[in-house]
Amino acid sequence: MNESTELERWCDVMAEAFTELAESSLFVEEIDFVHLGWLNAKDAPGSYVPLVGDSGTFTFGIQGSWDDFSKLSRRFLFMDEGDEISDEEIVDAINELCNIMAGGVKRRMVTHDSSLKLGLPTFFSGSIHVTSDQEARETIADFKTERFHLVAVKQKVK
Amino acid sequence: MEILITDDSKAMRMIVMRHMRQAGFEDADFFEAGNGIEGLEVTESHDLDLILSDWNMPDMDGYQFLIELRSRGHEVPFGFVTSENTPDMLSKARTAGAMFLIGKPFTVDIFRETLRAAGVAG
Repeated sequence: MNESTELERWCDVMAEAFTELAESSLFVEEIDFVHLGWLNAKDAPGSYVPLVGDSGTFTFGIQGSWDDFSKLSRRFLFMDEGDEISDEEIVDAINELCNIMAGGVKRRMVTHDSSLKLGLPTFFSGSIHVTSDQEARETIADFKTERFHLVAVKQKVK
Repeated sequence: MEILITDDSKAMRMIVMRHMRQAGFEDADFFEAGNGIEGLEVTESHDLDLILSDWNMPDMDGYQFLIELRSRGHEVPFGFVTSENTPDMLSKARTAGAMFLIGKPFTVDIFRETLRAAGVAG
């Protein structure tokens, strides 16, 4: 399997893990996914979690607008639309959601690579610059009312 | 009943507490800690009936927390609530003395059934 096909497989698994999370913890019944063969998300806030094993070094992330992140956080925290939510609460909630999604990827892929280790989430606002040593894919998850960019970055095997 | 919830995410501590109340533990007193070090401090100052802990946390993770608890002689029932939900992690958790492992994402039914199976009553 070449590296592109391999990363697409991990991307599909990321979308499966996100669907499980959305249905069980965010009460979303319908998500449309658009798989991009490249990285399109730019200059946006996002949370990222590393997943490292013998099969490679990966980073999985969720990018979105601040407004969509605040809506997503309210869903996760059982808050009403008008309830006050702080920036810290949004960052904490999105980090946790990204952590659960990456954990779902690990659980699905551990039969393929039992050495996988999950790291801690990091939140930052900006764009991802993919170097020549990396490959990236993006899947857009559309809830109709909010949309998010699910990002997978893999360090190329030298 | 006194229950400690240890997780570096404040959001997750709130969600776990909410699920526990809905799973039949509405009369429990809940304590919170952000990592294993804080968890040990709460354990030393309270007579806890149950600890629910995340696995991956900064400074002292949930696994180290459990090992340290047992080495200090605390036999309080301990369960993980974590996104580290693989057979290997469950086996490692059980060997270290955990009663159960609840994987994230979870539902109230999963909490209720897991705690009932572990013999923890609300």
